[in-house]
Amino acid sequence: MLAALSQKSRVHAFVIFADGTYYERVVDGNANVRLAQYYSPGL
Amino acid sequence: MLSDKGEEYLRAMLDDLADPTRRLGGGETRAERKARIAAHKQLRQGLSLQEQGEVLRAVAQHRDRLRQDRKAARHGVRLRALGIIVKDGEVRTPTRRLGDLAGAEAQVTDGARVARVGAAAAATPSLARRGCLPHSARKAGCTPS
Repeated sequence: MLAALSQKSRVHAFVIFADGTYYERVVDGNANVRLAQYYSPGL
Repeated sequence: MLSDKGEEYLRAMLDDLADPTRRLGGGETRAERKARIAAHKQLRQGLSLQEQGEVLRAVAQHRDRLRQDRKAARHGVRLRALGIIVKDGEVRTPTRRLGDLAGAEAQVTDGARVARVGAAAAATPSLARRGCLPHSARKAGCTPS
């Protein structure tokens, strides 16, 4: 239980541009992860 | 669902919002303002409280949208979770330009669960013995006291 409480989700978000460059960012925390997943299809 | 009078009241309120001259800073005199508010009051009078509330909520929503649009036009749209700002067809961070918005897409990897405080229960006693704070597992290290 303690281990579960001390964990959080983490994803890597990439923004890929038409010229082939990309920008990577680590997104930490459930709320931020959810937001990143929400934004990603729209961009 | 608004009645005809409700629709009329809503339209009058939205027209006021759309016209920047219909406010005190925008060139409207006090007399004009007074007349405008009296006309609104007249429109409002036949409406039930529920309907008035509905209209005012719709107006507030519209006002918020306008405010958001104004903010987006001035500062760009900030996607905080991705750490980017979209403005003038460009994607940028607060400090540098990343690329054009056209053709850009965002991808997110599958999530992973990571330990925030490494092995919290097991490590605490040993860290405590060494004089470290129990919740400082993320720190680079500390010298034993």
